[in-house]
Amino acid sequence: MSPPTASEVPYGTLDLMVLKTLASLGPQHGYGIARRIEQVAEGALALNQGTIYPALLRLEQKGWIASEWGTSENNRRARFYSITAAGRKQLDAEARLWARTVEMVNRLLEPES
Amino acid sequence: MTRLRVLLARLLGTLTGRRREDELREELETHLELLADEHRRRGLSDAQARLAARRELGGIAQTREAFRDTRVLPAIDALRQDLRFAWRALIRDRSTTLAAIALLTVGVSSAVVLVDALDRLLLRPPSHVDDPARVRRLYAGAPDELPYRLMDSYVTLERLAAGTREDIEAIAPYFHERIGSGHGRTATRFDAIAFGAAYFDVLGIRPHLGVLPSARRPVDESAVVISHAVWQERFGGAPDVIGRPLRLGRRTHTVVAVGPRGFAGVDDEIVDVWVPLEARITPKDWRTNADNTSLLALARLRPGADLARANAHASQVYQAVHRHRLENGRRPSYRIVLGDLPPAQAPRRTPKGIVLVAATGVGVLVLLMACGNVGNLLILSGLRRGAELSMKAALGATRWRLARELVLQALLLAMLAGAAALAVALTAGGLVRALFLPAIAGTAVGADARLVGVTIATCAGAAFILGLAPAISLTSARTLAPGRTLRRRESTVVLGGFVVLQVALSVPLVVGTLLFVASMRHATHLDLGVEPSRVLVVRTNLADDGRPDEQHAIHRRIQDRLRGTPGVAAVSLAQGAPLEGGYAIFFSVDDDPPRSGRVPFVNAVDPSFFEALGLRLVTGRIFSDVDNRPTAERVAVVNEAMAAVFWPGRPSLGRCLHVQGERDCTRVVGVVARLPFFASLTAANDGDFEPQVLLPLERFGALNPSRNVLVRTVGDPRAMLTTVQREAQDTGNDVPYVDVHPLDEVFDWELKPLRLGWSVFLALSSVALLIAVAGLVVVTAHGVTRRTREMGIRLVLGATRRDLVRLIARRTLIAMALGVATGSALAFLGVRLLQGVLFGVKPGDPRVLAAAAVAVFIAGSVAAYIPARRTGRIDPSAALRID
Repeated sequence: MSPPTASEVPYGTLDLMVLKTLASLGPQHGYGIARRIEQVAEGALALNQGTIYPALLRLEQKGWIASEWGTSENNRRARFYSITAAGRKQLDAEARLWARTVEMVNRLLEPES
Repeated sequence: MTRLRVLLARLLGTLTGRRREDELREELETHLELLADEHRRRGLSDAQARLAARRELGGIAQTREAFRDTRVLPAIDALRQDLRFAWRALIRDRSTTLAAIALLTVGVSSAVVLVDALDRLLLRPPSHVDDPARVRRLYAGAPDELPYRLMDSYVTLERLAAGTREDIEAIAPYFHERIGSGHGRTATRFDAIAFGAAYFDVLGIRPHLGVLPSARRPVDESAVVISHAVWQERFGGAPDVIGRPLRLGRRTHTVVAVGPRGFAGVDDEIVDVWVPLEARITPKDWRTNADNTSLLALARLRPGADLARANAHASQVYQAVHRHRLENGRRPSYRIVLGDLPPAQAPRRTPKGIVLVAATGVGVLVLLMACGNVGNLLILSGLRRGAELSMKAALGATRWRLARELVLQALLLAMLAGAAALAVALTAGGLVRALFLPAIAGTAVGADARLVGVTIATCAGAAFILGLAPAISLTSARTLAPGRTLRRRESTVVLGGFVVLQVALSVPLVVGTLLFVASMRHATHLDLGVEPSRVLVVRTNLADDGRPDEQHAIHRRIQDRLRGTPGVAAVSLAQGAPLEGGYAIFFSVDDDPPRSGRVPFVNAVDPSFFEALGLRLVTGRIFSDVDNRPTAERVAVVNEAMAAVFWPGRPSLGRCLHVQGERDCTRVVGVVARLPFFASLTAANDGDFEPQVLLPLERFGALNPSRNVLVRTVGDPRAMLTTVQREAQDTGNDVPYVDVHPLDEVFDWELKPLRLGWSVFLALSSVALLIAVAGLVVVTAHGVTRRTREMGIRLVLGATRRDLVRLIARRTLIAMALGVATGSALAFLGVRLLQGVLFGVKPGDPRVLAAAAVAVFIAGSVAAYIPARRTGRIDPSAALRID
């Protein structure tokens, strides 16, 4: 097995990343969100940018984000997404869950002393 | 909570259009542009920048697919796609679709219209009646026969009520009567119910206005309850109608209540007014006199009463009341049956009801045939789409998915046909209801939701049957085997099955039609010795007007007036009209004591009576004006039955009759043929006529006060009805309402079911035959097309064109022979339903069966021959080039 260069997005974490991005950057269009996630990952993540749109729709259906039309920096019509109150609550819960999971997995992986 | 929210969002997404997807396209374009801009800033050329942007965004098609899957509910979305496919398939094959819709419309509407009529006649409870299951109609009969509607005296019904209080709250005696109102031109007539005190208690009706009479609140005998319709038409819907007068016969009544809107009684006649029994019943001592046994009765059971026990109790009481008659052996242990309220649900099925049930069965058969035929068309159109179906299967569509598309196609067809059928049912339905249902059914306020429901259910059923056969036969593993277009052989077997089914189903229908035609012919050509179809009966009721003494004079004046009316061939005055009953008196004869048990019936008539009714003289002479002179000899004309009873085997002319045992001789001067006294085609068919004596009216008028003017018209008497009524009414300002009706109306109760059966069966069986013939043509034509290449080869190898036609036709003929055989068996079993309706012909008459089988076979052969002929025109060189 060759060492991983850029991994797939772990299942279920895309939603978390989108919510976090919107929570820290404020309203963003799809391109902005994808860009931000890629920047943060610093090339460790092979994000198929298109997949962000079904995820955005899913989050919107759940009421965690809202959207409205606006104008992008290159003067085109773009849909801007923003996090809702319910979304922030969900982000907190998921972030805690994520931290606990990571901590648990880390403990499991630690060399036995 | 979140889940519900998602579900709702997706449902909304499924239902709303594709705007959100268009928006996604715009979002993605913006995204691409932004990506490309960035790459350009990094120094890539325009083309390279675009390419890189596309690569980073990933597959746009997949994104949109994933987006769509998220947006909607996938199951429903797939269904919508299938619907769209089905719709396109229907549009593409327009001629098949139109034919299928037409066939289905015919099938569905015939079934729906008849089921609806049946529903209204038999299943719907009467409107406005409170807790109708507890309201019972009283029937009576010997234990070994189906009971008739109970008719008895007030005394008996009172005792019945008193003896059954445990189970029955109240019993209401009542009778139906037509009462004239006013005189001369403005005279009218009301259909009335003379009701016993508890009538409205038993029905539990709430009035629209006023207070309904009740056993607890007896009313004066001058009270009258009017129907909502009478209130509207005669009183203009006046709110102050309570207390206003209404003249009925010789009395002036006072309106005490207006019935609820749409309520017109619970019998077959539409009732206009309800008057207290006391105001109409005769004789004067009716409360104690048991002679007037013309009262019908309704009863209301106590809540929770056991019907069987109530029946048993009522029967016991009834037998005790009639104890004395029982001892004479005249009423052997009659039982009482508390039947359902709707008249059509009588224990003894009415002939109309029987015909309606049979017709509904036939309607459903026609629907089945239409379904079979449409199924046929769908299979054929499916065969043409064989390659498409195979391709879809090869691309991974499951059998379930393909079958679903075919079923949906059938469902769409059924829905379209259902809409058309509903339109037909709402228009033609009225006609059928008018034919089958008593007028009162038309007055019921019935929501047509049931009709719509029946239509939808029928269509769903039809679609299921329709879709199933093609779905199974066209999507079987073998037909869709890869690398092969549809195998046609199996489908051909299914097609053959349809042919057999359709032919089989049309045979019983043709048999039914022929049976009704034969019955009708037999009934209308019966020799009665009179011609009732040429005569109108005209009469008015002076007794009810309080002037019984003027009965004779007024009718004479009406006769004189009508004599001069154009279109009238002859007018006669008589005590009674033939076929409508009358009276009997005692006669003695010189040379022989009268036979016991057969007291002859009597009618005193004008000399013109013989001409007006078309009586046939067997021997002797008819009356002349001379016979009416007080000084002339008293004479009589008798019918053959009279002669046979009194002077069997001996000449009757010149014999002496002693009217009511008088000393004077009344001499028999003529004998007329037949002359029925009661209206019974069955009795006439059996040659069973009552002995009758005709006497000159001016000499014997005092024997009975009743008078009828009999009018023979030149043309159809029904066309003259209004003219004669108006003329008779114009006779004078002292003439009460004059009733005019065709004499042959008395046969309606026997003829109507036949006429009905005849028309409905003829219509339905024609449709059925047409459907079957169409089916045969289509299937044979398909056979010709399918085997064109084979035929071409046969031609080249030396077969004659005649051989080819025979080859093609043979297959259809075999299927048809099978169908006719099955159909004859079906008919043999099915016609039993018509027992009791037919007249002068047995349901299982082998001649009728044979005629129907031959007719269907001939029709089928023609249908098979037409397309088969095309085989003869096949051009071998062209046929061989077909792939």
